[in-house]
Parts: sequence; structure tokens; C-alpha cells
Amino acid sequence: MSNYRRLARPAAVVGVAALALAACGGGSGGTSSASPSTASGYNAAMTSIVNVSSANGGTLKIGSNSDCDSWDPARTYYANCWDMQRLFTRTLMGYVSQPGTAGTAVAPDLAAAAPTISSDVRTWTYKLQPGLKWDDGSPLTTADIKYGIERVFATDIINGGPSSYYLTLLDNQKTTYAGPYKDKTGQPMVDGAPSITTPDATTIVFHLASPYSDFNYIMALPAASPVPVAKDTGANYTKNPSATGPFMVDTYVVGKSISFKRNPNWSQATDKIRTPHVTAVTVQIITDPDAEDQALKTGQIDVEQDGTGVQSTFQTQILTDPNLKKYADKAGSGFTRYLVIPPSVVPNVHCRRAIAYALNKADLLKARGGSYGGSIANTMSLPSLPGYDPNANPYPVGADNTGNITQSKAELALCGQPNGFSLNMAYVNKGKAAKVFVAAQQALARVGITLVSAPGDNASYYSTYIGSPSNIVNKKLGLLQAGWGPDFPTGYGFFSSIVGPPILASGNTNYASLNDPVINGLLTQSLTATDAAKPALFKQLDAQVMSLAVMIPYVYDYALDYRAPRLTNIYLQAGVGYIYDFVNIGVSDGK
Amino acid sequence: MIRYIIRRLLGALLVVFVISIATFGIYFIAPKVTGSDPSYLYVGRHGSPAQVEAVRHAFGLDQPVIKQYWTYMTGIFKGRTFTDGVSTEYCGPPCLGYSFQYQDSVTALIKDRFPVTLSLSIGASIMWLVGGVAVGIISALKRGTLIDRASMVIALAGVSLPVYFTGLLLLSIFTYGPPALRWFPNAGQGYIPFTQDPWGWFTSLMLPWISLAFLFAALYARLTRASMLETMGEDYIRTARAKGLRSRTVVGKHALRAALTPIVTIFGLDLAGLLGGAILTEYTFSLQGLGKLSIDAIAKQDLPVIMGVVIVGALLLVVANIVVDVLYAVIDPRVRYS
Repeated sequence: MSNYRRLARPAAVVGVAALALAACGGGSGGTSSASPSTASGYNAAMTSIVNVSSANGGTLKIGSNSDCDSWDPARTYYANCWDMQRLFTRTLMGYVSQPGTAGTAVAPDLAAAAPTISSDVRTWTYKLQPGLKWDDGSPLTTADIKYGIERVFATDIINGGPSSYYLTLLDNQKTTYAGPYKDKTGQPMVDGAPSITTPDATTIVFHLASPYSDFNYIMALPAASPVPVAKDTGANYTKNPSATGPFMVDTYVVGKSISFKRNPNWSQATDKIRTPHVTAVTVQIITDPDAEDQALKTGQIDVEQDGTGVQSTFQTQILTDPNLKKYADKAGSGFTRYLVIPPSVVPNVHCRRAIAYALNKADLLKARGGSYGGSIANTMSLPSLPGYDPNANPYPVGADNTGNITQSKAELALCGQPNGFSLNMAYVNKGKAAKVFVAAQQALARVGITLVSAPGDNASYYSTYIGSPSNIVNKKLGLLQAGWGPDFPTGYGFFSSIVGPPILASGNTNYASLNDPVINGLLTQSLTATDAAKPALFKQLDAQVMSLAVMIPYVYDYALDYRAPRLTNIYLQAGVGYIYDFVNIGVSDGK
Repeated sequence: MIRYIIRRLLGALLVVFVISIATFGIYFIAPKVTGSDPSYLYVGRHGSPAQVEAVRHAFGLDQPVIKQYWTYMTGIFKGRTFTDGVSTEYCGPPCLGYSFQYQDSVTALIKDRFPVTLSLSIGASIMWLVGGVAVGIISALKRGTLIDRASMVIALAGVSLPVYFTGLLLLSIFTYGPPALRWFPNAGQGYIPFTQDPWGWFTSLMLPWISLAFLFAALYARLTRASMLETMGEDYIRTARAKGLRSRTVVGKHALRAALTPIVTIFGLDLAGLLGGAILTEYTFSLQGLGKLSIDAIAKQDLPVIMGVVIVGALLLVVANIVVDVLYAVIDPRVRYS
């Protein structure tokens, strides 16, 4: 059972890019705009809203293998939990309710309109909509938003979430602000002045430490959601988070079950993103994934929260039964699987290219679960990111994707090792990684490159095994299995963490320790670029990364999902990683 | 007898104490070996060393091991107060620590999960004890017949089939199978408390009981059969028969009583072991018992929960051992403690 969105915490969250990303965060939003809609069919929810209906009432029954890492919006990092946050948490900006890549766009949610942005892309001013309320009826103000973001700075208590964006963009003091619990009077500061100001109850201004054109996406992460000071119970906030969205927590037993009821103080008039239909949502923890599939098949649950697809038993049934298949979707992709060839261990670019040409991607795809678990990747960028070039394939491995032995041998000769060489390959000792190792080993053996197994422990693989540049050198790890899905679906969101600075001593995600002036220049340039200019920038960046042959992509991850026939208004939300958009789902029988 | 029990209880406490030290030690030393610090799990993706340090401090993981251990052990008797600077939680004695994953005291977690495991274990143990021993006796008495062979083949199957296989098979037939066979529609979907819905409790636990009992009944059938055959060959059984006693008396009063001694030993240990958590069965049937709690805790390196479950499990085992020893005296007239 592979579970990439949960398994790989250092790359836990996925998303895809905004083709329709209007100037710094526009987008129309709402399900009412011209979204394609269809009756149910295989893969229909990838590109359209299935079973559009205005019928209200009933309970959406969700199943899940495990409880969320946290229900505190600032502390969760699982894609499916970010999706669940849409039920009860609202942020200044939010992902639009659209199927397909259109869903990667953000639109004003709590904000009345897109922000005004200073010319240096460092000052962002948002205005709140009038009439916003908390679930207890008290008015929601910009002070609540400021407080919600300030508590992210209390990293000793509010941890586990994507705090680094806020810590680095909203504070550049020598000693970072410690959060509102320890520092009652302080606040995050940039260049000696407060970085978050609230001139009045409906205006909030962010002064960033550096330009950041994707800031609307940072404001769309659940971590940027408002929190009422009076209700903040620190680490205990996960047990009873306050609601601004259409639902609120009804009952919650940590690790066992959670249910939601409608929030009487939410108003449809203030929400252009969500159109709820059901009156309650329940989440039942079914620990065994196969038992969860059976519950799904028989209608005891409507949909799975996990976002990791069904298990192989149910998958086989779905693919062989047209009556089941029309309710299934091949969901994705928000995740690139790639092999890293660190230049610190394999300095010669021709040696690296020899590896790229010799790979058998057809076998690698099989190792990752076959054609329903993924699609072959020939370039790093996810297919729906701006700048993705469908024709990009700098290291073609033949029409059948089994490898280009002639070209590989030619590169080996250029590299001065015509008979091949030996490399240690790092992979995590869990899931499908060992199969990928075997597939790579067999493929590379054809050109004389010997791969030696160097598995790492699941708990520390990303933090200290391949996340530590010195460990890579010490253990001579010449080939590393890695995967990446961005926290938010933009070119910068995808590339900055895996090809750009900083290179950390541990917990490093730039596994190849790339410090390429062209790449760094393009990343910096994108931070002030207009959205119209971004596709060209990231196409160039992708080509540059590929030309260095330090990261060889082989598969985009997909997952076969199943949705109950009675569900209406259902589609896969790309912004949160192609998981069904739970907040808008309805049920046709009203039960 | 009283003195014997007291002596055994003191010994039991010593065992639990040693186990607590061992668990604590392993948990503390293991991360140093594997290089995985639980603090990293809390900090998340881009955690800086300073953040990790802050978390370590908040959890008290920066204290010397001896001190951490002392704090933990005294907490069991005195209770402890936990605070994150925002909210404060008091954990009264017996305080087995506080889980930062669950934001709850371990004692409360165990109290919450124990009824699940208890229901599962007691129900299953009654089934396997009655079923297994009965089959074993019949097999022994009808040695070599078709009944004997058939039951032993079934028993072999029971021992060989893992619980998650029988469990999923039962679920796919009796819960998610053809509508006519969905006799236990609420199985596999969590625990229904007895106090809330006795019938729901019973029907939701039937399949887990059967899966677990099938495994153990098989073992007990074979054990009972062997033990019975051995006893039936003893001289005193022949004597009893020679005296002209009825067959029922010979088997029931003389043979069975002696044959039961090893069964009781094994039963005490098996039951106590299960009470510490029947991991596979709980997992397969989505029963949130002690077993599920402990594997989740191991996955999340949640030391207080691991410690709590291990200590409770150890306590149950040593108590079961004492109970078994005392029961010997009741069952077997040859055993006397002084």
C-alpha cells in the first residue's frame, strides 16, 4: 500500500498549477460559473462536475484509514486534511470550486476582492468582506487573521504545519518572533516594522521580507486561517477548532471519529467558493484499507478521505466491471517521482546522462503500480503546472519506454567509463520503493552500471538520510529515490524547494544540492514576474534542470478513486492535490 | 497461601518495574542508534534545529534520562500537571504520562480503549475455550475415528490461517457479501459500547470473536487432545475404570481435571496477552483497542503511550500468572501452596 500523500511528510502535500491564474489571485470562483458538468462516467470527475444537482439535505459519509495529523488548521500537513479543512475553515484566499486544472486557481474567500499589491511585490493589502461571523456569532475581524498567523510563529506548540513560509516571509529579525504565547507584546517584524498590520477591522496589510508573487497561495493555506484569541487553547485547539466555513465540528474523539454539522452563522452570500448541500458530514475510521474499500463498494461509506486510491483487490473489480468503473476516476497527478543523481557523488554529467538513457521507465511504472497508479514522466514539471512542455523529453528512452542502450553506452564512453561503474542507490525501506530499486538495478545492469542496495529507515529517510548532503557523500549514495508534490500548485511552489537554495544540513529537500546560477536567477525572477510571464520562465527552468541530468523523472503518480453513485456535485479538486472536494458534495437520496 | 500470594505480588511488582526500565531505556536509546528523533515528527517539513530544540524542551526530552524516568514513575503515584503555556492539563494518579499526539492523558486513553480489547478478548476466549476444549476431548475419546481426524485437520487450518485472512474473509461474506448473507452489517466499523447498545455490541463483535477464537480454538483443541490422551493412559484412570466407575465420571472427574492443568496455564497467559492488545484483529475490524493504540503509538514514536500500554500489558500478564498458579491448587488436588 503506497500512500504518498501521507507517507512522505517532507513532500506530503500536492497540487497542480494554475492555467487560469488571473493576475495575482483573481479567478471567478464558485460552482455556478461555466464548469462542465456530466452524468457519471469513468474519469468524469477529473474534468467535470458529476451529477450536478441543487438538492439539499442528507449526510455525507466519509471513510478514512486514520485520523488527520491535526484538525488545527495551522498544524496539519496532509493533503486530504487540507481538503477537509475546507469544510469549516476559511482563509483570505481559497481554491476555486472547479474541476480539472482550473481548480488550481485561488480566488477571494474571506477577502472581498483580490488584494492590492505594491509594485515591489512586497506589500499586499486585503479587504475583508462585510458581515463575516464566527460559528458563535461574534464578528470576524482582521485581528483574528493576524492572530491566526502569529500563532504559527509559536513553533514549540503550533508545529507540524507549513510554518516556514510565514516564518521567512513575515519576519527577518535576528531572533524570530516567538509567537503570542511566549511573547505577549511582540509581533513578527520585517525591517524593524511590524509585518502584519490591521489599520481597521476589515483591512489587513502584509509587508514581506522579500518579493513573493505567489503570496495569495500562502494566504490560501489553512495555516493562514483566522483563530479567535478567546478560543485558542494552544495544542488543544485541534480538539475544538472554531469554524468560519459552512460546517463546524459536532463531535470529535481524537484518533477515532469526527463529525460535522452546519454552522448556523455561515452565510452563503459571503462565500463564493463553497456551495454546501448536505447537512452533516461524518468521518468513520476504518483502519484496514481493504475493509474500507468494501465499505465503499457496498455504500456504507460514500467516499474515502485518504486520497490514495483503492487497494488492488477493489481496483481489479472496478476495472473489470463497467458498472463500477463509471464511478471511478484516475485521479492526479500532483506528484512527480524521480531519481536524484547527486553531482557530489557522480560529478561527470555524461555519467549521469548514461543513467538517464538506460532507465526502463515501463518497468518503473509497473513497480509503482502500473498504468492506474501513474503515467510516465519525461520532464520534472507536473503536467498542469505553468510552463509544462508536453514535448519535453531530453533523455528519450525509446517508443516502448524500455531504455536507449546505444545512447547510454555512448554517454558512458564520453564519461570515460565505457564498461560502466558501481553506485549505491538510496530508497526508503517501505512501500513500493524496493520494487523501484529492482527495476532500476535490472535496467542499468544492461549497460554495466551496478546498483548496490542502500535502503534507509522510513522515519528518517527524508530528514537525515537523503536530506543530509554530508550523509549522501559519506555513504556514497549515487542514486536517490525521491518524489515531490508542491504545497501549492505554482511553478515556484513546485521547483523552489527541490532545486533552489537554501541547502540545509538536514531536512534538505534540494536533494541534489543544486546551486545553479541560471536556476537561482529564474526562481528569483519569478518572484516578481507577472502570471503571464511565468509559463515561459518555468519552461526554461525545467529545461535547465533536466539538462544537468541530476534529477531523472520517471512517473507522475495517480490514484484510482471510487465515489458512491448517490453523490452529486462531485469533482476532484486540483488545488488540494486531486482529492474530491468534500465541502460541495451532495447526496441524491437526501439521506 | 496468603503469604504465597503476597510473595508473588511483590515479585510481580518487581517484574513490572524491570519492564518499565527496559521500555524506557529502549525508547531512549533507539533514536540515538537510528537517528530518528521524535521531536522531528512534531516540527514538520522545514523544521529548524531551534524548533526541534524547543519541542524537545516542551516535552522534557532534553532532561537527563534518569530524571525523565523518575518524573514518569512518580507521576504514576502522585499525578502530574502538563502545560504548553496556553492550556494546562492535570493528570491525576495513576498518571501514565501525557500524549502530545492525542492531547490527552495516557491513563484516559487506556481507560477509553481497554473496554474494546476486554470485550474482544473475553468473548473470543469463551468461544475458543469452550469450543477448543470440547473438540479436544471428543477427539481424544474418539481417537483415530473420522471425527478425530476431521477436527484435527480443521484445527490445523485454524492454526495456519492468519487472523487478518479469516477476518477479511468473514467480513467480505457476512458484512459486505450477498445481501442475504449480511448477518453482521455493523462488523468492521468500530466498537459499539455494551452500555450503549448491547445487541449492537454483540453483533458487531461476533465476527472478530470468531476470527480470533478460530485461531486459538485450534491450538486448544490440539493441546487438550494431547493432554487428554496422555492422562487417559495413566494408571489411575485404569484403576478408576477397573473400579467400575461410569465412563462420564472417569473422563469428567478424573481425566479432565488433570488434563486441564496445562490448558489453564496457557489460557491465563493467552488471555492476558490479548488484553494487552490484539493488534491484528483490532486492525482488521477497525476496533480501536489497546492493540491499535500501541501500533499507532509506535508509528508516531509516542513514548508515553507505548510506556503506558506496555506497563498495563505487563501488569495483566503477571497478574494472570498469579491467578493461574492459584487456580492450580483449586483444579489439581496434588498442588498445595504453603
